[in-house]
Amino acid sequence: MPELLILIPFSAAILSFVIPEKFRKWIGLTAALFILVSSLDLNKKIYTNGIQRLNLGGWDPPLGIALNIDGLSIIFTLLTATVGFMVSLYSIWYFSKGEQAEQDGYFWPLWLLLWGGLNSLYFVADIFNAYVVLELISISAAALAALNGNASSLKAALRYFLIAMAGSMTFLMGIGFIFAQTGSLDMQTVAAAEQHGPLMFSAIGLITLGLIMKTALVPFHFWLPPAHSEAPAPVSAILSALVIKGSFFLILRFWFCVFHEAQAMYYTSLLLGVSGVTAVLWGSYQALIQSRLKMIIAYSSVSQIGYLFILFPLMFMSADPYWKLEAWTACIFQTISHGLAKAALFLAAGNLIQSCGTDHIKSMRNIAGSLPMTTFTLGLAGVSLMGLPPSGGFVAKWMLLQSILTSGQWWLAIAPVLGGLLTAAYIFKILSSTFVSDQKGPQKRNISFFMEKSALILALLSILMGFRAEEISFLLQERMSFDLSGGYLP
Amino acid sequence: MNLIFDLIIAVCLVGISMRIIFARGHFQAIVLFITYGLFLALAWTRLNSPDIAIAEAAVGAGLTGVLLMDTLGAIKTSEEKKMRIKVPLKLAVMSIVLVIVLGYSALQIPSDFSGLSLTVHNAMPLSGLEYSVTAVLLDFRSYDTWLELGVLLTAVIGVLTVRRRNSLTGSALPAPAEPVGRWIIKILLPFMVIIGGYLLWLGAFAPGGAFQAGVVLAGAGVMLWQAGHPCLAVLSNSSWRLLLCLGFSTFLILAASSLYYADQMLTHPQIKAWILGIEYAATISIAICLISLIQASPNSKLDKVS
Repeated sequence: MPELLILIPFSAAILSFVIPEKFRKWIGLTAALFILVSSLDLNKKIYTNGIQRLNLGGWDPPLGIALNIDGLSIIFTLLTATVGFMVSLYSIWYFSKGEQAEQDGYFWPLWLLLWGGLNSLYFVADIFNAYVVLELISISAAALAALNGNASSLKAALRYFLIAMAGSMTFLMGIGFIFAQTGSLDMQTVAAAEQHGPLMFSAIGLITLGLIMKTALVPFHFWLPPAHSEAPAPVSAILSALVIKGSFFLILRFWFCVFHEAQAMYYTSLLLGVSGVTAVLWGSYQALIQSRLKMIIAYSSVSQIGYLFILFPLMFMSADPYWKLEAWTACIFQTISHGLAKAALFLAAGNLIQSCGTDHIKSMRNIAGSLPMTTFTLGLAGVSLMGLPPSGGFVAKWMLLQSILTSGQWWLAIAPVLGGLLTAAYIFKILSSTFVSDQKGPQKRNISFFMEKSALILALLSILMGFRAEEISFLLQERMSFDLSGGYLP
Repeated sequence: MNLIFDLIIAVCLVGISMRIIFARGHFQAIVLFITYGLFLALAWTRLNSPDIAIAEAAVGAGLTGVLLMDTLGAIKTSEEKKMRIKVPLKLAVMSIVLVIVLGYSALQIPSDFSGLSLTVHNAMPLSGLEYSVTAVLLDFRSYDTWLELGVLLTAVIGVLTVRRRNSLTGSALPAPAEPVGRWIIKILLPFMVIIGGYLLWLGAFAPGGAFQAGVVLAGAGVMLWQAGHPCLAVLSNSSWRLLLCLGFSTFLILAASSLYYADQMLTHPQIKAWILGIEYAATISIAICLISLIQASPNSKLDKVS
């Protein structure tokens, strides 16, 4: 039952807010396990029986609100469940000692509320409901970013919060315009309505702008590196792997389900493509010149997000449906592999920081000797980010490059080619310092078994997902509630 | 006549927001912001949305004003800036272009735009409720209302996180020395509680309802706190937490139980008591959440984390 994916995290959030602090983490872990199981179950149902559409409260849209669960929703739900479960497992030990212990009581209710919000976002079928869910996600994410409580993290979280609010307001204004144009809030009804005129033109611009502010596409990326690097390790993983993907999911929903105003989308997609290519190059360059591990990983997010937006010029400026499908699949592959690899990187970085007491890469000597498992995790996740076979990142970048070359828009090819080289450069920069041997270094603290393993499993999954390409493509091609050229399928 | 009144409100709104941008000091800006909230409430009244007007006056002008003033007291800037604030030319040009584009688009909205009001009107007999706004909030789109209560709860947990608080103990203010303030509160407080209850009851058939009632009750609570009463801190920690999430969990219980007796989540059983129960729960937790947001505010002392 898809409703369970909303009910479980919210009930667990309430429970973990009310009960005494020392039991909270066990509630969180139990809920994470249940969510993982029920999302696998839902995946099976969608895979075999096709998409589901549910009305809530006994009212049909456009009066009531519906939930729409298709292949795209289920892929994002599964990604969230996988990363969420591993991060929850990691957090139990991460927040158990030292100065992190006092953050434990705040982390669980916020994270479970965020998780519930993300799951409801993936099922969204109503444009105003999308706004409400986005608010829930932004507020809990900003509070989580401030979890460390020191001045720099508060500043970064406040900046993130202000940008997220500006994005929400822009988005809400777009919703208002769509409602004024079509007289409905239900996505299916809006998609079927007439979409000409300046009202819709502005709505497309406002909604896209609001959402790319939250997704941290260049030039709105400036809040991401400080916010993601100042947060505790599990929170960084959640923010980078899941929260920005949430708003990206909504962009996909709006662009492929709701809008079909061809002219406005043509020009906007060109802009998005330019921003995407810039993001890939600028983000990787910035990552290369950083000296702190978490800053490198955070800038790497800026660059990897750029790849996702190369989809738009490919979809809206070329005609061949076969290569459109290829680009579409590449984009989703990139989302999944980046989510898994980035969560693994941030969790591994958390291990290194707990072990060395700093995240300056120069002082992380002899990591390969003392923490071989974590070093291996860094390497594996790096392979996926660089796009080496057989990783998920390779499949994504290969398909992306193919569809770029056949679509004839050669300028887009700079991103995967040059971006891949730069990515390799900053990954090797991280890895090279871990092999420098240092006998006199400070005593390194031991890292719990589960903290190392959960990061490792995420990195392995990001490599191995390349072998499950067929199932993912099936979900993306046969289980979609919409046509790639826009609008819902009958 | 109405047109002139509308124009005055519009001009005042724009004028006040300009003044806020160019305000010489924080205090002036805050007072102007509160004025802005009151004018906005007037504008909502003119737009035939008394529900939003009450909420805007109470939250936008009232509670936000208290929070801003409180923050001003906490940061205690030594001297107010006297220099003139310059708005960058780039920003000004960009805003003007944006206003023109958006204004032009907004003018395209047909004047007889009715949205979904006809659909709502037709469905009213089926819902068993009398007032359409309440029906939309608690029946047709109850999923949104549920999640909104979640947003409010998340905001409170977020503030507690940032303030590193586990409870509201130690947030009591010193009682005001002058008797006039206490005397006014003594008179106003019972009235506010009565008005809150009245608004809640009114929601069944006229503008009013859970949010408006909760906001008025929150106003009463904040006044009580300002008068030196510990307010929410008198509650035990666990009952305070339960009350905070009361509204959200009532919806949660409805959603979970509806999976057993109905095909669709959040379907109400055909009993008025359900709607009433949800409204009461939402009112209480909205009031408690808003008071908590303010009581955990910068000026109250931090309790040491054990």
